[in-house]
Amino acid sequence: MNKLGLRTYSGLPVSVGEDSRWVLAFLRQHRESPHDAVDVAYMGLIADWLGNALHQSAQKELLQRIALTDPLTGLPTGARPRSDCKSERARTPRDGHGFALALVDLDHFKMVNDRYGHAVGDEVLKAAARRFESGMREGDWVARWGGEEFLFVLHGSTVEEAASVMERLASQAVRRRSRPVLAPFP
Amino acid sequence: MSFSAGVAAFGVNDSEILPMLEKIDHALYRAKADGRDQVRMAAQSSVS
Repeated sequence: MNKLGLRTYSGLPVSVGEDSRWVLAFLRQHRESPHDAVDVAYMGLIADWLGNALHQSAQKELLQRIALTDPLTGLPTGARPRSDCKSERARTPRDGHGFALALVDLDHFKMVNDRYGHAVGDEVLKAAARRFESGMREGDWVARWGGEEFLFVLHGSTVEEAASVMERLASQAVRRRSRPVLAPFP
Repeated sequence: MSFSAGVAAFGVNDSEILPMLEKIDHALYRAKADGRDQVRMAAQSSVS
């Protein structure tokens, strides 16, 4: 501290929600009088602002962690598909039939993001989500498992049936792929 | 855009969801490793 020429110190508590473990330190090079009233008021404002900002970002993170619907695709996400899987499992003996799970990962998604940007990547995810949802039977569901992964639950399906549902979705994906239009050159 | 998929079935006699999730994850990994754009079925459990 001395090396840097810092001679006075003021510490203000910073409250982040209920948590006040934090101290914001102001260091000064002057040796004269401690901070005056205006300085103290400014430091108080800065400490409050910092506390609020930290609190907000902590709350936002918490909300995202417990968020049950993906804002991008509108599909269930996070803890919800995981707990829904457990409920499906619990229902199995009562329903008298099992179910199939399918985990889908979009091919070369990272490349799309890198080459065309995240806005295009987001559109790809939204389009995939819409296509998957419209291909579902009543009662079956699809969730955004994370990143470019989607989880499908198909009731009363054997693994072969589920595989053919997925094959059908995959073939639609290929058929809908846009092709270059060949037009005569003027 | 194409996709790869791992598929597994949860029978009436199966009890745990976690091993299922591991199975489909593994099946998906194989689909990716085998060149993508395909569906792979997880190995059926021997006790069902």
